[in-house]
Formats: sequence, C-alpha cells, structure tokens
Amino acid sequence: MSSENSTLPDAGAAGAAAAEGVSRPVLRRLLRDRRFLAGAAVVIFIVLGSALGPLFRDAMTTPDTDTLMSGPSAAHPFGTDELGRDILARVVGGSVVILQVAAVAVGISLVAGTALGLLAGYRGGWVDAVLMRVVDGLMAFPLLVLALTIVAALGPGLRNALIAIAVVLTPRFARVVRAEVLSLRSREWVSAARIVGVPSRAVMLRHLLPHLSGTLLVFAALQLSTAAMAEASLSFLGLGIQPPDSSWGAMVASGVTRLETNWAMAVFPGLALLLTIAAFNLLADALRDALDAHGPEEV
Amino acid sequence: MRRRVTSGLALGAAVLLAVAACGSDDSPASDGGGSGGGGGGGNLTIGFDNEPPDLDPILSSRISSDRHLLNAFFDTLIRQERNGEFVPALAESWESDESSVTFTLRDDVTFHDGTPFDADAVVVNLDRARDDDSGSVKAAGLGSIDGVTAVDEHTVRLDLNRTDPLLFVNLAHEAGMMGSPAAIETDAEGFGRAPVGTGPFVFDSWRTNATLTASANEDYWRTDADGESLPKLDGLTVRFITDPSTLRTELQTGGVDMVRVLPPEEFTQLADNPDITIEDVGLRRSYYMTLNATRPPFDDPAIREAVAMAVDRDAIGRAAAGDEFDLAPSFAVEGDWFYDGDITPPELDPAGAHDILESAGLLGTEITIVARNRQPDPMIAELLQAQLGEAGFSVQVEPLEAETQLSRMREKDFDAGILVIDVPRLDPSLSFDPYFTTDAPNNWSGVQDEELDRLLTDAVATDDQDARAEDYIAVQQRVIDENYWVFLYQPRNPLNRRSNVEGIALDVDGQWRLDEAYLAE
Repeated sequence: MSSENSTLPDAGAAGAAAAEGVSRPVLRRLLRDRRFLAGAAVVIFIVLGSALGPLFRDAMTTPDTDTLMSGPSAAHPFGTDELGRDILARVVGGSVVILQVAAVAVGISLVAGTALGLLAGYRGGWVDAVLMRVVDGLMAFPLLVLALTIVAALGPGLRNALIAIAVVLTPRFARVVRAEVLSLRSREWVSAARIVGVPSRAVMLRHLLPHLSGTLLVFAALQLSTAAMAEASLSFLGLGIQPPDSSWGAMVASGVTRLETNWAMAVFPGLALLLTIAAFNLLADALRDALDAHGPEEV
Repeated sequence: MRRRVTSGLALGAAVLLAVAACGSDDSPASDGGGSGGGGGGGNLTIGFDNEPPDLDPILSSRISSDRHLLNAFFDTLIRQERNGEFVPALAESWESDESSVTFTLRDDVTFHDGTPFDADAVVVNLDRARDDDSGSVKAAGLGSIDGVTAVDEHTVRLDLNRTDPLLFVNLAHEAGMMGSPAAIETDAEGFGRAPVGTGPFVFDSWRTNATLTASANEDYWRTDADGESLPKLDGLTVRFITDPSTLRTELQTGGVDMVRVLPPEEFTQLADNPDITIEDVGLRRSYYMTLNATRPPFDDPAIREAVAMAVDRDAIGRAAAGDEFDLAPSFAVEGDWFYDGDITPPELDPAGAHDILESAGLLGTEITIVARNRQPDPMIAELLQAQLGEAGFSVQVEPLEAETQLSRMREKDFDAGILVIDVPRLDPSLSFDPYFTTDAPNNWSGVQDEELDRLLTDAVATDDQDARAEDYIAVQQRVIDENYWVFLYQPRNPLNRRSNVEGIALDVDGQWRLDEAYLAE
C-alpha cells in the first residue's frame, strides 16, 4: 500500500520525502545548507557541554564568599556570581536544564497534540468541534501568560515549568495536524482504505501519520526555540528550576541588577540563550527548505 | 524622566499631564509652592519603596516605614528627640503623678482644614486610638490610659491605671498623632487617604503606585531654633518605586532627592559620587533566621544548636553587604542601652554540627527555608542552603511573595524562615515582645517559654531603665541559649540623599522629620 505514495505525487513532496525517512537527497541538501551546519554545530556543542554538566555540579552550586563577583580570570573564565560560584560552570549547568525542558516539553506536546489533531481532523463532527473549541480557548491566551498561570497554580519548579510549557504547546500541534489531516482525508487513497474496511485507528496511524511527519518535524524544530524561550522566561521570573541549580533565565535575572558591578553575570548566560535559540531556529529553517515543506503559518 | 513618562502612558493621558507637571517640581526654582508658603527651600522629591495602603496613624501597622510620611502631616502632644528626650510639641507643658498626666495645650494651632486644635480634639483623637472598634492597631499601646478628660479648652488630663514606661513613647508617635476631628467625623473611612492634621505639610494628592504630593503648611505653629518659620520646604513629592536599582539610578540622576532604603549593593556604588551623601546614622537592618520550634526537627534544642553552629554569619554578611555590616547578638545595635556584646551565639563549627546530626540519626533530614522573593533574601537563603547542606541537612529553598511567606510562617508551615526588621525601634519592647511572647502575632518560632514571658512582662512593668536593660539582656541571652533564632547580620541602613538636601531630623528609630529640611542652592 505504501506504493500509493509514488502514484500520487500531489500527496506532497514533504510528506513523501519524510515518509521514506530523511532520504539521501534531503540529507545532501541539508549538508550543503550553511544554516543547518551552523545550527547543528552549536546544538552539538551544547549537547556535548551539557553531557559534562554533572562534573561541574560542585563548582556550580557551592558558594565561595572569598571570590564574590569577580570578572573573568584564568581560574574563572567567565568570572563568578554574587555567591562566588563559577559562571562558566553555571552556564554549562543551565544548558542541561534548557535542553531537557525543550526536548521533553516539545516531545510531550508533539505526541499529545498529534493525537488530538488526528482525532479531531479524521473524526470530524462533534469530536472535532469540542476539541477545537478547547484548543481555541487555550490559544486565546498569549503563550507566556498561560504558562505563568499554570506554574502559579502548580507551584514553581522544573517539573511544573515543563508541564506548563508542554500544555501551552500542545494546542499548536493539534491545530497544525488537524489542518493537514483535513486536506488529506478526502484523498482517494484514504477513502480507498476506508472502503476496504481498514479500521479508523489504522487509517490514522498507518496512512495519515506518515504523511504528516515532514510538517511535524519542521514544526517541532521551530517549537524547540519557543520552549527554550519559555523556560528562560519562567526561570527569569523565579518560577523555573529552583536554587542552587542554575538556569540561564535565572542567571540573567540576577545579573541584570548587577550589570554595572559585574557585566559577566548577565552577559554570558544571555549569550548562551541567544546562541541556542538562534541555533534551533536555523535548524528549523534549514529543515523546512530541505523537506520543501512550507512551514505551517504561525498560529 | 523617561520612567515618569512610561508610567504616565500606562495610566492614561490625563495622568500623563499631571505627571509631567510633577516633573517640573524637581527644580525648586520653577515652583514656589504658592506666594506665601514655605521658606523657599524648594520641593523635595522622595523615592519611597514601601507605599502605605493608608495614612491614618491609628491604622498604621508598618512601624518601620509609615511614620516617614505620617510625620509630614501630623503632630503629637509631645515629641521625642533622637536622643530619647521628650520635648513640648502641641502640648506646651505637662505635669504627671502616679495616676494621671495633665497636658497644657498650645492655643495657636489649627488643623489644615481650619478646625481649631483644642482639648476636645485631643479627647476625640485619643478615644479613637484607644477604641478597638475603630480598627485602631494602637489601642494596646494606650492600654494604661483609663480616661481622657478635657479640663478646659486648653487642658487635657489622662487618668492612668498603672505605671507604663511606654506611655510617653506611644503618645509621641503614631498613637498620639492628632487628626482633625471635623475631617474624621465627615469621612472616617477616607481619612487615611486624605490625611488632615496640624503637621508641617498639607496633603495635596495621592495616586497609588505613583506619587503623593503635599505643600507647605503656611500656618505651621513650629519655628526653628532661630525663630524662623517652618517648614522650610515649599512642598514634598513622594514617588513610590520598589526596585532598589531603579531607586539608586533615580537618586544618581536627580529624579529623586532622597531614598528611604537602599541595600548595600546599591549604595556602595554611590560612595564616590560627590552629588550624593551616604551617611551612617546608626540605623541597621537586622536579618534573622527563625526556626520552627513546634515540629521536628527543630523542636529539639540540640538540632537547633547544630543549625546555629553551621551558619557562617560573617560569610553571609560579606556576600550580601560587602563591608557594610555588623554582626550583632540580636536586634540590639551597639550603643543601645540594652546591648550586651558578651552575648555570643555558638562558635562556627560545621563539622561539630554534622556530628550532632549524625549521632541523632538525622543526616539528610529535609528542611524547607522560606524567604521573601526580593534580594538579598533569596541569596541569603542560597548561602544557608549550602552551609546547612554541609552540616548534613537536605535543604529546600522556597522564595515566596511577602504575604505568602508570612502566612506560611503564621500557620507554622515551614522549618526555617528568613526575615528582616529595621532597628533600632522606638523601644526594645517593640523589638522583642511581638516575636517572643507566647501569644504574640509574630512569634514565628512558636516559642512557648515561661522564662521569656516573665522577663518581657517584667520589663514593661517599671520605668527604671537599668532594671529594664537587665531584663532585655536576659531575654537576648535566653533566645540565643535556646537557639530559637539565628541572628544573621546587620547591614548598615544609611540616610541616602543628594548632597544639597539638608536639615533632616530623625526620630529615635530613624524615621524622618522634614519640617526643617531644605534644598541648599
């Protein structure tokens, strides 16, 4: 049945390409794309760095009141913060947090949002109406306001921040998936599957889902930067991971009030955040072009 | 300037106009405060972090900050100078015996609304302050008064039921402030939002979270030592700004002339600025950690002692305040009559603390520190987290909004809490009673200690200062021996002002009196 793809070119090049996995031409296009290379280099660097995170845990959390707020030096390349902790170690520690939140929150909302979108788009009727009104309701709130409300209700902390970000991203995935499903479900190959008696679940998972993977890949990559930004914002407000663990948002927050005394405190975590988000965005752009999926309209 | 415009935009165009008008007040020359008013001393702009909800003296519960503003609008029968001495104010003289005090009032004073100040006004005000039903939080402070009687138009007698060393202290501050009886009668509810007293300044306007303005009282009764009429200023503008670094920047750029409180981290940045004077006037902020003695693990005195041994107070002081701090045995400040430098907490000994925990089988005990979500409190909490961690506790820090933190602590839903009070207070009873008597509202630790109750009751039953000092020193020794609290450090709390602001007088606890203040050319 998968041969249907080739007989139906209008199913969308993106879907087709993705359905076969990231095919060799796609890979070749990616590797020729400087944005992809730059983005991937930064992400690989951060992933490797965060793998070293646990080694720095002591330097990251142990205050040393003999070296308060010193500027960059040989012993402390990025200087030290208001409690004498090494800023480099804390930036590395923060990378673990941001990658974790971005990956897990996007992962959860990808799965949940896709399930909801498939269900709504394929079933239609009241299921669609109810699910989409809920999604509309959630999306009526600005992303950060909703996330703040959720964290305020659940209490601060890494896990709750993660839940909040996953909840605010889920409707976005649901809406994108639903729109794609709506355009696919009237295709002959879907009708054919239905007519020969393929159960609904199989239609959704085996026939529709593979066609969505390209769109989803690009959209998920885009949401990584949104999730990272949301995590940084929450911890900037003191609602993310709690001390003594570090996160870039919290470091920037305590650094901005001390800019005139020690610029390094805000600048280095801020720079790390900038680079990471830029890298996620570059990757998403490159992926979209390589897969030739016009990214879904920003919703 | 930019800040003003931004906040103005948020409030709308009408407000923007008003704000722009306030802006011009920054330069004294541009605003004479009216033809007859003031002494041409300019308009003083104040940066104030702790906006009161209300300026009704008998409702004022923030005893460390509201009076900065109340003093501008209200006078008292007697005034207490910085050195503790009582001097005449609205009362020209007084006589007291065992059971009564009789005040002879000035006959040349009127309230801002034109109501004459007389004996009946005193009766109205003191009766209102003594009446719990009026919502007064000052009634307890006047509990030794049995009755207030107007003997004639300018004579008032207070009948007393006991010796009360604090009666004059209370009469000289919020509890004894005189408001216009006419204004109180017309609108008792709204009185606190539009205060009418006899003070050096007349209330003009108040916009919450933005500004409060007042102008000189042209008919003020008081004169300075040279017989010059007061107040010297033409007016006051109070800008409510909470962020310390914004306050510091405003002071630097002349957006405000004076700031109530700046943390060391901010005021040390101004040390070399010739336009700004940072003056140590003996005020301190006293940071402390209170331990919840009502539940494990801190219901055990040995574990509390382990905490006291694990806390490196000097390291906390250095991190939070650089060189600008003292270590004190308690709320007492060096120089206070109830200060005793020999009271010392347990020696710093993290290893010893670890041993105590180990032998109690409590290594790894989880404890929660609640702290206010405002620097430096979270930073202190993080340091304590590391220090107590080293001793073997497993510490969780919860930075909370002020009200949330206090209600958690009242419900005893915490293990350790970090708080700060401004010291000295008007009287040591105000520093110790609210925290250490069994039923006190701020008895965070849940202390039920008969010894402390006895000492604190004793200390307010006599007006012999030596006997009182002995009691208070014993109180401090007891609190330290039992390690209910760990007194952390006392950062300096200087008077922060532009160098051309002169003539600021201070209450015993450092709150401002601005009638003689002026801006020098």
